Amino acid sequence: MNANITDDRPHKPPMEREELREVISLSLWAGQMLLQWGADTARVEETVHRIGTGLGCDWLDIVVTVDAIIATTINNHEFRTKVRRAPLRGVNMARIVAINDVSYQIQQGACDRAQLRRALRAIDQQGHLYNRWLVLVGVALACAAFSDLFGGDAATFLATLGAAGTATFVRQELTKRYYNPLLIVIVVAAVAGGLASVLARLLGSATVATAIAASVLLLVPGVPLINAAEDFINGYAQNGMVRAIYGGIISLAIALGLALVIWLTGVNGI
Amino acid sequence: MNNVPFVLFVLEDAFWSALAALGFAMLFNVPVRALFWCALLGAVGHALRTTLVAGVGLHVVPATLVACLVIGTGARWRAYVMKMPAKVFQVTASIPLIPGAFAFRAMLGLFALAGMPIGSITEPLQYVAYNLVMTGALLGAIVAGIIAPKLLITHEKPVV
Repeated sequence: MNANITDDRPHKPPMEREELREVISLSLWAGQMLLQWGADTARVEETVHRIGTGLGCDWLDIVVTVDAIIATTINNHEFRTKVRRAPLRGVNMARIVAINDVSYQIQQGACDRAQLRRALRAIDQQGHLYNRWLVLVGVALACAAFSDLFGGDAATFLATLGAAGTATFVRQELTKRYYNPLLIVIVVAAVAGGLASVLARLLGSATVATAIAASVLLLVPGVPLINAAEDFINGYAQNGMVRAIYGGIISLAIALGLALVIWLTGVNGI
Repeated sequence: MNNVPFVLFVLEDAFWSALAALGFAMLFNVPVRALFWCALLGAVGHALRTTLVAGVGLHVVPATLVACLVIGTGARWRAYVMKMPAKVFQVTASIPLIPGAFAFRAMLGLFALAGMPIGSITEPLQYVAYNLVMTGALLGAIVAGIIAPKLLITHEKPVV
């Protein structure tokens, strides 16, 4: 088939429509996971392109929005198009690294469609590298370390440790129950701020506000904001705007949770 | 000579920064082999900023920019060596530099404004504006710093 192509551009060996279908569904699956787990737009587009061309397509045209990907795989005169939704799920660097690895293996011809399907299924099913209690301790220590960097004393450190640890536990439990992400941020900010305020005063801290400020840092939308800036710089202004607004709304949700606590406890942080 | 206490002060700063970067690296499910470098870059970045601010007397915004240029360059280097996206290192190492305290004061000040009589609002408004501007400037410095090395080092014909 396709023997009568008359343009003088170089083409790869012709592919059946069934093969094109498999290529588009696999490359979109990889792109979907990247987008859901915290990759920026340029990485999603480049990786989908690398996988598609590595599996035999001449070219791919890819549109990446913040929660969906549209792609067309092209080989000689044949093409197929597909849309894949990818609502945001969180941040998972291990998955991004794994998909990055497999995309380069495909580019070098070290991985075919069947192997890619197996690899993607394994990536999709891989659990968190660190169990929830390890993450809880790590995040609590990180926030406590922040309280030290902000100039807090030992009582502030302990208060932050307890508040951030409890808040992480609440966040894990609420996330497991599929509550609305913004509602989770508000509730977790209130728990972290409220507990930090009470604990810091009980322990006799001289810097109660520092304990509150450090305890809510576990909610800071660092990845959406950095991705927003990267998208702007790489020329994806629409995605950059959406991500920046999302980061801003999360920050407002943190403030709302804190405001609730301040009204209840009467500590003015400033 | 107060040099020895200052070195200790910076080392302590580096220790807490490494801890902060490490905690967030675990939250973001960073692969185990990258954890050490996330913590190290986080420590170097924040300790450098502290040195520039407390030792040299530089303003915190340019100091953050310099620290993030170092983080960004280190992240590119590790990304190249370890064949990983640079974002793994960029995001975790810049976490200790996030202007959490400024953002916190800006937000609380904003909420406190709501209950104030209109005549006495000027000074609290200044407080909010100052903290908002500092938050924005520091975030801008972080992002510009960690992305600049990529823009300067890699400028090939785009793939897509």
